[in-house]
Amino acid sequence: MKINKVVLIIIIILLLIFINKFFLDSTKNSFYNLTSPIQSFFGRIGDSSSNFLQSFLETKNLKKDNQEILKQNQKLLVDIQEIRNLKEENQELREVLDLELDKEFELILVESISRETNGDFILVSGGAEIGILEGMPVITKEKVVVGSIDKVYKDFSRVLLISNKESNFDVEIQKRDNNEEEINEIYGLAQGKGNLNIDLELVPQEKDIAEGDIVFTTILAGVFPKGLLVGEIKNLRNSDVSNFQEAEIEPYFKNNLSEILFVIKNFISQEEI
Amino acid sequence: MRKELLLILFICFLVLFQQSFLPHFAIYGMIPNLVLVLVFVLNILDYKSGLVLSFGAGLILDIYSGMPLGVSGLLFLIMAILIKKSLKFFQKLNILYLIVMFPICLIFYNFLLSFIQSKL
Repeated sequence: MKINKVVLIIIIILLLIFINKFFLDSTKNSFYNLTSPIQSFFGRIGDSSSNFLQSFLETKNLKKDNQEILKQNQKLLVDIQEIRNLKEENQELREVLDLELDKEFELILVESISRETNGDFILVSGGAEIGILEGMPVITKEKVVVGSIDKVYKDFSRVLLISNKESNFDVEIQKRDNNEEEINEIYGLAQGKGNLNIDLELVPQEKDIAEGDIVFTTILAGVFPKGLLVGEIKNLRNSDVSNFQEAEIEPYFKNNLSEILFVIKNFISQEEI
Repeated sequence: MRKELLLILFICFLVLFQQSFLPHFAIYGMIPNLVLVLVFVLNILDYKSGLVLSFGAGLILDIYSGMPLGVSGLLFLIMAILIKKSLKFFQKLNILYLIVMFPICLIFYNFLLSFIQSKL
């Protein structure tokens, strides 16, 4: 009887090794296919319930927030007008200099299905069948960077979020000086800390950064295309001992995880090449 | 057998619920591991198919996580064996046992899982 049990355990272990070696991706893909409607359903219910709960808890601040948003809206309207003027000016300059327009991103639409409980990963619909490859960046419709494709199955893909501990990439911090004319560009490193947290590191002490400054991706290390929104700086930490300043980044993707996302098809991280 | 099948369906439901619904209510990024709670309860009650169900629950959880198939399965199986062994030291189930044993299981599972994750 005891020998039978040992044989059974050995068979199970060998079977697991065999599946992991040859059929893991197809096994997972089949299960995802089977349960993705249920996962999407749970995801939608979870999203609407948490939104409701959040709005219920934040009713007190609603009036204040509303006024703040109205102010921001007015400022943005002015900014939009300025951008329109700049765009026209830019267009004219391009025509004059006969420069080619930058290639637009080639995007693949995917839907967020679920988030893994261990580690900062999400599962999205769409995989190798529609041309998704490992290393492709994932963004929201607002050009907020979410992460990069970590694993591709036939019909699904696993996205490594930028807050994952394994994720680090160069960023550019943009702040407007008091005169609102000159734009300073400062570079640093965004290091994922897990649990949807990101730290900003390696910003030289002499550089002037402040809470609320906006962080964008750069092309420097070839991880993400230039100009994608990452988040804004909070909890700035200055130390006399270190040569660098540190801060936390409040990632913008936090609130967009359950929405439609886009995979950038015509850019693959240099780490994957 | 019918009971076991219902339990497997319930485990599937728990895994999907845990992976798709609960992340929206994460507190400081933490989500309760309902599957681990179920495995703990099944074995603390000395359920006769507890070992097999624990291993199965781990396998289902592995499918929906980024881990290789069998990691959580084996961890849950070891946890179930430990619980069953530890039950022999206690005359009857008491609150002290639960207070001590559950955190031990939780730490055991999360510590080993993080260790394996860091090695992969």
